[in-house]
Amino acid sequence: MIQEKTINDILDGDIDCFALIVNEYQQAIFGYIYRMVKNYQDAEDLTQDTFTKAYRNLGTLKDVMGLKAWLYQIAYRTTINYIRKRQLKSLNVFASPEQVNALVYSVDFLQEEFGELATKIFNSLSYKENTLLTLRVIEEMSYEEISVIMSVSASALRKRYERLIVKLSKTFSVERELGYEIG
Amino acid sequence: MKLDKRISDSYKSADIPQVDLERKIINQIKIDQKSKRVMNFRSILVTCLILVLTTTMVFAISRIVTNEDGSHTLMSEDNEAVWTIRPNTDYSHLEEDEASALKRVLKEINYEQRAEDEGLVAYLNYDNDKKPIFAVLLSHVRFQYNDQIRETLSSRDDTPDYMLDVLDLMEEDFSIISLGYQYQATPESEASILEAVEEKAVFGEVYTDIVKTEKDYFLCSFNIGSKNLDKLRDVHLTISESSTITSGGDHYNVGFESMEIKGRTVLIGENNDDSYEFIVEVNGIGVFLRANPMGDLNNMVEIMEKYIDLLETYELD
Repeated sequence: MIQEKTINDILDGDIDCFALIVNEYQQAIFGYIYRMVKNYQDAEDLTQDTFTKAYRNLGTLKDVMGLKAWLYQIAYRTTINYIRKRQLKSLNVFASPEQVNALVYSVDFLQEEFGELATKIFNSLSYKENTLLTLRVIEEMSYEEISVIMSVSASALRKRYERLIVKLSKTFSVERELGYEIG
Repeated sequence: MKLDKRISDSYKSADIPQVDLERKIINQIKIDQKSKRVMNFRSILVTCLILVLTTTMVFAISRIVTNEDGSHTLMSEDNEAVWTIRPNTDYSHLEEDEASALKRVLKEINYEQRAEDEGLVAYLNYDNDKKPIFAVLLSHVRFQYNDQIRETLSSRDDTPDYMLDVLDLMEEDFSIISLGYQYQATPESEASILEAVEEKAVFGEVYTDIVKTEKDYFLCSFNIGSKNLDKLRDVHLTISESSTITSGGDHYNVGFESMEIKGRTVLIGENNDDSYEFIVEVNGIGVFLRANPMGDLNNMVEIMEKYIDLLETYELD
């Protein structure tokens, strides 16, 4: 658990103290980004960007208790900016969410632990859905915490999450009837 | 096991590789700090160099050109300039009292209503070689938007035909807070006015004058509130028959790209505050949309598609 003293030491110029923050959260942040971009190298670069931005802006952190959510907020913005820029470089990908997803989820996805069905379905999620699912399921964050990260109200997130689970349940049910198994 | 629990478990079971980025990140931070210190010493030199380079720089994607004055021009498929984004006045080169004098005059101009063929000129003669840094031309009136203003607009002979349809379309997605409209000079008449004013201006002072102008281009800009804050925030929309638009420009813009929407080339500027600028020209009518799309550019693309569809049904005289 990172203490306020650690933050103050970093702000006073002790860069090596920042390693404590990196060690504590790097795997979680990397995991979140990796689920979004599905590419090891990109996820590693974006994780690095996230922490260097965090270091530069550490003075704006209001409460050390909110450090984890704050890091996720930076990671979220860094990653969606990266995805947007990747979209911009391919001029006509805006036409439909399917095309965007096809672009985002096109490469290097490790499939060993996901079953074929789960891989197929989770790959079809938008980055917003993926973020919501990661923060809720993996990080077990409250809607209020996610609200700060995604700049969407907690009540809207609750509805989105419920709709997402219903959608996924339906998709899994339909696909299972067609003979797939959840991994 | 319930299906939703199995879905969560399945999602959790994805194999995420282990990473150890501590050394890389700390090294990167140390390198950044070193470069920052070097940058401080060199920033003036680099700024000058960038200014020189941008005068001749053409973006690789070839449809956006950076001009000598820092503005950006969108080129059409056949390499004709169709739209220019002009940066706002850069007050940073001015002394504090000079900047405040200029801002005060500009503010007064915005509140003063003039006949349609008259305009006010504000001009700050700043450089030794009398290079003008800013001029405001022509009448510019801004109103709080309400039913009465809409009625007035619809009854004016000089309101373009498409404007009421634009207002209807705008009200589908936005609450219109205020609108300002003006007639803007052609580049030729603007140049001649500036030349005349340059002779009269005194070095270091803000000079204003009323000038007669030709009524050339209609331009209407809107401050609007988004009805869906999850999709768009901080929205500004301008509809213009001019080929020049004023935006945040260089101080604020971090890059330009272009893309196709509905077969039209759209210039996209990315700003340093999470907002974007989309500019498209349809049958001589320009649409400039600035907004924060809340992380999803499709939110702005959807809006642009609607305006392209609408304006494609009109032709300017």
